[in-house]
Amino acid sequence: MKRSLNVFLMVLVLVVPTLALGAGGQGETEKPVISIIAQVTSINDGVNAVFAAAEQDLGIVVDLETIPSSAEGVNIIRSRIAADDLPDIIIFNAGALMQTTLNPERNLISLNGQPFLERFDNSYLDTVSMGNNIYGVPVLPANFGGIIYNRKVFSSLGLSIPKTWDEFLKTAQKVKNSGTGIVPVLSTLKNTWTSQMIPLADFYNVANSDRAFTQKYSNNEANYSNHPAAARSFEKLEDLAQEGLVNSDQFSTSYDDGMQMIAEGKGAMWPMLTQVIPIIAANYPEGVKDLGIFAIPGDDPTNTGLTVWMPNSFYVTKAAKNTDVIMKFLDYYTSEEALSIFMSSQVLGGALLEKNAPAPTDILPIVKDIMVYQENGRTEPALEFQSNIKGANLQQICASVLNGDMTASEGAAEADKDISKQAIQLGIPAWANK
Amino acid sequence: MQPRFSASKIKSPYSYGFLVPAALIYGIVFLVPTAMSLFFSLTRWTLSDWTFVGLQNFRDFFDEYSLSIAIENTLIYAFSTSSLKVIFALLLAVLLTSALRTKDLLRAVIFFPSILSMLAVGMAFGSLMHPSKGLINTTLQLVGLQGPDWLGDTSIVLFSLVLVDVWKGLGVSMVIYIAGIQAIPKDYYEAAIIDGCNPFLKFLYITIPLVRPAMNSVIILSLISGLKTFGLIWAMTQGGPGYASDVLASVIYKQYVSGYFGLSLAGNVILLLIVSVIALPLYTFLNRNPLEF
Repeated sequence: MKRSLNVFLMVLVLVVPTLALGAGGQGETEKPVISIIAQVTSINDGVNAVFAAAEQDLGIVVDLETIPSSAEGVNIIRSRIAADDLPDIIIFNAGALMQTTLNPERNLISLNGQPFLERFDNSYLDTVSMGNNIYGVPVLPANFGGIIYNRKVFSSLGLSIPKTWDEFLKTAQKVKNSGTGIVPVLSTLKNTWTSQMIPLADFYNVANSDRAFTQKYSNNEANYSNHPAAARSFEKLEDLAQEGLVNSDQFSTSYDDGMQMIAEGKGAMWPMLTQVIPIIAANYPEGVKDLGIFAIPGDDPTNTGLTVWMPNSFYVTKAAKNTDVIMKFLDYYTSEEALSIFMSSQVLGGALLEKNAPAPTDILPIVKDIMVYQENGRTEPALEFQSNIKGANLQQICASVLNGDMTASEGAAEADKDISKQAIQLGIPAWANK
Repeated sequence: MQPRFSASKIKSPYSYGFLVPAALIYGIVFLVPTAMSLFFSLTRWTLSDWTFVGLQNFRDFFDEYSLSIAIENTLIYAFSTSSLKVIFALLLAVLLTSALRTKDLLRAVIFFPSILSMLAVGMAFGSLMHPSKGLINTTLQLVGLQGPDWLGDTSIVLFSLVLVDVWKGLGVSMVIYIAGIQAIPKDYYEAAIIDGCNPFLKFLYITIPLVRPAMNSVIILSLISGLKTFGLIWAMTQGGPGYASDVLASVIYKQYVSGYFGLSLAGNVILLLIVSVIALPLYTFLNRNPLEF
């Protein structure tokens, strides 16, 4: 009797939960769900606000899975692609990285013919295309790279914005010799990726000195060692190292430290992307008003410009089933209504790419600076958006040059080797005969 | 007349079938991936498709800028951490097998770091070693000393990493030694005391020779783990500043992270060869005269 009671109870305990789970699965009509994978830094308050609005207004639920923004996150995406375990949408970089990592022709659905694509310029659409197919729609505003500076520090030390690289070095020297302990040029190498800012953001100067550079670069005819303007980018790093214009503890100073130091006036200048503006605005609301930005100067004082980073974008994968729902969602995300929601929930750190974007109301001084460059057409998409070849180790090479471990020419030579390694891995014919 | 029984002629009551589960697990988890790695190291692999390139990956790996630095660093790191652990763990073990009253507590305290996560230790020491705000340097400043930039100065970064590794790994080596020391029969010590031996001579002529099996284990284990070291270096410096603290495993990891999977596998094969070339002869050498009490 006792034994069969025990058996009965055991069966009950095992069977009932299974039935309950089964029953719970059926039932009420559910809202359509879009599954998205995104790197953490692609998601901010504005993005979340639009996702919430999409659920309210359209009844579409976003199931967001975030992954690290480092290279490990990129590998997670690679593994998911290899295992064919894809979500409906991947949020990822545009440009070279999209082409090489996501392999659009194999994994993504083309957006050609969708009406919302008309909201964008070709300069953006080219960076999310491959062949004749457009694959992406931006999640965030575009980002600009230049020298962020603290106006208060500049005015208290009587400095003006340098128009050539030599003037830049002299300005930094004045800060160094001022005795105030303010760091002339911030270097936040604890997050190694920041070391590449100067060569990458200097691209405006390289492209404008030789409009054919990108073509030559992709064809293995021009590189950092043999092209004078490109080599100059590395020499700029070397200049900073040799003249001691960066903080001495640069390897222990982090990206977050950099934001604090520039906002609080402990650093005068910081070569950086404008993506930091919303974060600084959230953490240092008074300090952010002191910030401005100017382009990395070249040798021509009349022609300086900011380099543009196209934003991370939505890419629809071949695993997506409700493509109608997804297209509706993307149309909504890029509509004026959603853009207003985005702008009211998030300080802008750049410029929205949608042609129909509402005019921003509360503009920070630094954003005004960006708009001046934009209105005068003095911007240039970064190299990685014009060519699909980007070396993987640039950040380490730049860190070595900033540290004085490599000279500019050694750094350039190493960068070229790095680029050719990537090109060979991609099977690009121009590099096949090494 | 031949003996009626010899060990090999007694049939085991258990069938060979008992080995199958273990062999299956070993095969699937170890042999198959190793064979796949050896194969894919000869290809250019994107996880979805591959093209055969023969030994090109190996040639490219040797062409790596940071490789000579990495090999040098790996050897220095492995031999330094190994020797420090071998020596200091033995001294600690001798101390903690004596008649000290707090020895159980001290054993636990010294062993504790080994159970911590490598990443957690790396991050903690990363902040402690900050040149101006870290606890180590601020404490040194209290006594008037100027601490160096532990992780930012390329000439001492490897040394700092060695110290943290030894701090963490001393416990395990010490425990191995304690087991070895406790296996030494007391008769030897008693005989020595009768002959009027002082503690230092006891240590030199009894403990050290008789703790050799434990010492061999510590040497081999610490050397192999030193050659393969990755977690601590990655957590603290990611091979930086620049390339100064790169070791073989971090070079391989960087290639993996860049998506060059075939190249990184080739690196792993090379690492396997280096570890085998060092560890196997060493193992044979150390075990040539097995110890019998």
